[in-house]
Amino acid sequence: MAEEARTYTIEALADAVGVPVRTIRFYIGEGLLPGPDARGRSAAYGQEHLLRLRLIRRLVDQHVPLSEVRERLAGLSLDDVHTILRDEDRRSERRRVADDAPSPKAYVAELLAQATAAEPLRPSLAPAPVPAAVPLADSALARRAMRPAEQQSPTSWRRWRLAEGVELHVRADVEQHARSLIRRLLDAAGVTSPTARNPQP
Amino acid sequence: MTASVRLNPHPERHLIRPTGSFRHVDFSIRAAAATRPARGRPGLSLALVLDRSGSMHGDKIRTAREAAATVVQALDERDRVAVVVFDDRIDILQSAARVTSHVKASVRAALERVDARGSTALHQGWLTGCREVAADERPETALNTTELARCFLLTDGLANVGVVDPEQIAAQAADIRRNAGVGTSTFGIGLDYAEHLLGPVAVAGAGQFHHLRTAADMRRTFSGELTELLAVVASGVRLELRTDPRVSIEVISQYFADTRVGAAAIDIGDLMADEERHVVVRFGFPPLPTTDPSTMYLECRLAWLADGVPCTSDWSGLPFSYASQSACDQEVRDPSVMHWVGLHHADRARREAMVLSRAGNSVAARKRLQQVAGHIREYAGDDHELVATEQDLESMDAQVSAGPVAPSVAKEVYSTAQRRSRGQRDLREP
Repeated sequence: MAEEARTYTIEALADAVGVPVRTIRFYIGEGLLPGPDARGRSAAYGQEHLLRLRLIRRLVDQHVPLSEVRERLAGLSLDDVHTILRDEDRRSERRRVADDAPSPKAYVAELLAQATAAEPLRPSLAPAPVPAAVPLADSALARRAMRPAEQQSPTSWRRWRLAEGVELHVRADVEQHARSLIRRLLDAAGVTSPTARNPQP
Repeated sequence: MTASVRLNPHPERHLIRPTGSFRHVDFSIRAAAATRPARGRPGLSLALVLDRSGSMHGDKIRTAREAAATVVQALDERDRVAVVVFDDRIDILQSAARVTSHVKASVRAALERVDARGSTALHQGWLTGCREVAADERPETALNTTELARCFLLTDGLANVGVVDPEQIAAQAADIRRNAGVGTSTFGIGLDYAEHLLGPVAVAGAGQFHHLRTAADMRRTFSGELTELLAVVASGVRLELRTDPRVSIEVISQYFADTRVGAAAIDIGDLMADEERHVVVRFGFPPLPTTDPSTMYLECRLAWLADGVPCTSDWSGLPFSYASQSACDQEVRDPSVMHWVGLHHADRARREAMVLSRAGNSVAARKRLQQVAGHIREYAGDDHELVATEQDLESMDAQVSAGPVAPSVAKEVYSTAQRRSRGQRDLREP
């Protein structure tokens, strides 16, 4: 069944959002949520109830007074609610990463660990000390950063030196696809030696 | 003494048409106290992140080394400094450390060995610098929370290793400033860097973006921004707005804003004593609601840090009332507000037009310039600066119509428009 068409009993709705049934009834009584589509035992709640209820909980968790929650929800379409929830989810995730970090330095270190996991760089020649306060390799933050599902998609580039001060840059994920074009450009630039045809690091 | 920051909101008009209206408000923000806190200037944690990719070869890398060394020389033991260089590899020349004479000598020696090579891992280089100067402790547990932390990012090229998406990097700059307290200023040198990356990163990082035309510009802007940072009396200034959820909020001035339904938080950055900023915001009021009162309120306040102490002003309210079409027709726009409205709309149009023109879309660029010039013509009256601005937009339209603007022109126009919109000085001038 499509998510949009799914209906819930009040108990199932309460379970889905993690609030008591009486809280849902309270919100309906206060005008924060529309009533069910039918009365009595066949009362049914839909996607709109679910999303609005999630948004109400999110705002209440942020200590927004109920009167203000009512104002904020008035006049919002289902699409509006959907968009707000998605934005709120993103903010929450970014906020959670910041809150989980033991210090500002550890927070930035995690962002750097994520970036490095997605796109390893050549090792540094100079010593690059990581402060003792940020044991990257052991931290839960760093381990989470390494999870494939949460890695940013890598964007790496390869470059060829065509002439003094002239380089060709190709994104790695299109290199295969653009092989023939690259060959033509290298030929046109007179880059003929097999070594020179290999991209520079 | 703790610096106070004053907020004065000025609406262009107070009446709304029954069919709904857009109304601008100019928020004037001024750091009032000219007296230094008893303990003197705050310490500064500064990361210098320098591009040493191949294209920096010659004068550029030599000047970057000198400018960085000059900045470090101007700091003292109240401050911490870190120096990071990047191409497709990142080297930390100096981990964050108190600026002792030994550290100064060590940085100078390390900089002298820096040569240009490789490509541009700008994202990871910048993150490394931010990590170096981020605090080891959370602000609530740290003994000294008064330090400002800033990353100076200097580059002459396009990010082409790692994350390269401007929006993604700018969003991270905002996160790092908010969650780790490290701001970012950007310095683009030459004609090959991406102003549509360095500009937004500086806005999100609540810092400044400098287009450097010459080696002398680099020296002056490094030193000039350092001087300003050392004179900051209110840091992390934020303008907070809340209103009816049906009212749309659009920030016209070039500030980073977190906008939600019926609310917005606009990051102004750090203010020196007596420094003033103007933030222009456009509010979209809906058609007259049938059930509600015929007045809608906009509330605003400021939040900032002074001498490490969080401060907020009281919420103040601005009423906007629904009125008949004829009453709205008779209400006169406040010319002092429209002055800032026109200038900031023009600066936004210039930035957008430069990006569009460089992307080869001169039709859209011209349309944007003509549209804003037309609006300014309606209300410029005898405001000479607005009249000149309108003429400037027209001449820029003619320039854009001739084909994509030259990179040097695009960078100059973009950076000037951003700087003006944020009320910042041109630090390149002696």
